[in-house]
Amino acid sequence: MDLSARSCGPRSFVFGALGVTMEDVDEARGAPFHTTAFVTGLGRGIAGALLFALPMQMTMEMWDLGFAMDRFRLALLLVITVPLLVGIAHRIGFEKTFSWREDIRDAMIAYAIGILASAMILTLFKLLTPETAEQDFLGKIALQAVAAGIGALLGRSQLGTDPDDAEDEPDSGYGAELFMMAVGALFLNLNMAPTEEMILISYKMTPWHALATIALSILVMHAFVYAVSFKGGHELEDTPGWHALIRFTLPGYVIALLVSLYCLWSFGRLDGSGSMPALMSTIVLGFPGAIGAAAARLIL
Amino acid sequence: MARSRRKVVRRHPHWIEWTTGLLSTALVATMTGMILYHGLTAKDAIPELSVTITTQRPTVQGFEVSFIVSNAGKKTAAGVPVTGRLLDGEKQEVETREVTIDYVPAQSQVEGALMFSANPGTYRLDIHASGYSEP
Repeated sequence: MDLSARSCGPRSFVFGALGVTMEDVDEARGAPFHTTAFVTGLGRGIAGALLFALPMQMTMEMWDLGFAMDRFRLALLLVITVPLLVGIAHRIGFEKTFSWREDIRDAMIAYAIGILASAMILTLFKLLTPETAEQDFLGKIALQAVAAGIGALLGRSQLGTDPDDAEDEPDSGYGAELFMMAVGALFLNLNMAPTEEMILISYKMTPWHALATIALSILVMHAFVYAVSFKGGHELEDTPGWHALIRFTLPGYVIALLVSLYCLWSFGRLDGSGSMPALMSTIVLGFPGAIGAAAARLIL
Repeated sequence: MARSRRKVVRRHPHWIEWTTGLLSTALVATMTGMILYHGLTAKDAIPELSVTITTQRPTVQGFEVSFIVSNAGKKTAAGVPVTGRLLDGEKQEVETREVTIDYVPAQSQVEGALMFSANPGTYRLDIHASGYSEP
């Protein structure tokens, strides 16, 4: 299979067409613009945005956060989303030979799909009306667009059936591995961090429950990737299991905790809180984060 | 494509993998130690609530008294009613207002406000947390 044929696969939003205008010799030279394929790509993006973002769009706390969230923190989240989407696009969107310029283009299309899909769904639920205050209007859409944008990118790649998946790349780098764990953790955390249950669980827990949660998080993370032989699992061969534990699972857990801390802070769940309650809620949210991180290593 | 999708963990990786791994291990161990210490010292802990007034200011419909509820204890209090009373001299109540704070986490502070129609400046203002429940 040659490169030009590959780039026309239904996985990308904009196929050969931009390659011509951008004079990128490597990609799809002269390939015709396939309107139907482009529409299919967009459709998959919208499907992904719906699949991954609907739980959040139907969560009351997320609507409240639209106007209650600190504007600086919201802006920071929106800015962080850009390199995150570009990274995902680079990792799963195209082959490695393709340029960052295309990754950025794909990421921005996904972001736009996320924004449009969120606006559409929120309007459908009558959460956005012409009377909605401007700040509320913007905040609600922007907040939902983060998860919907990630969903659009994932939908495009994961719901499609392209045999030339980047997963065939057997030796993805260490950095890429950690990055994917962060994406997986962020994804589950965005779903759960806004809800009151996260802090409520941490208040109910004793320190002993928290210790058990840490142990279980690490165990589940490790087992997911190395033990239960899921599709996409990793092989140890002659490497001892504790090597993988220290080199991959524990850094992954720390990443999950950091992402969890970031999400809680973003949504104002830690304001005025002492260090111990903050740590406990980070551990509680870190549990789904750890599972998300482990799953991302298998799926993405 | 016959190639296996499974990734293999190499036996001799780049030093950066071990550095990251060991730093993470240290971090998780520290965190576990902190919680363990907290668990051993915070046995039979109870919330210790106190309310302090921060500001008083006139609003369109009366007066607003802002306060901070602090929990110095090592246990979280839930559903904390904060009662404010304006007293005229000898226990004569002029006005009572109450607001419920959802959670006051252990060793944390939460801000809130009470709205009075009479001016709290001209009376004696008594403000306190009147209870709590387990979260």
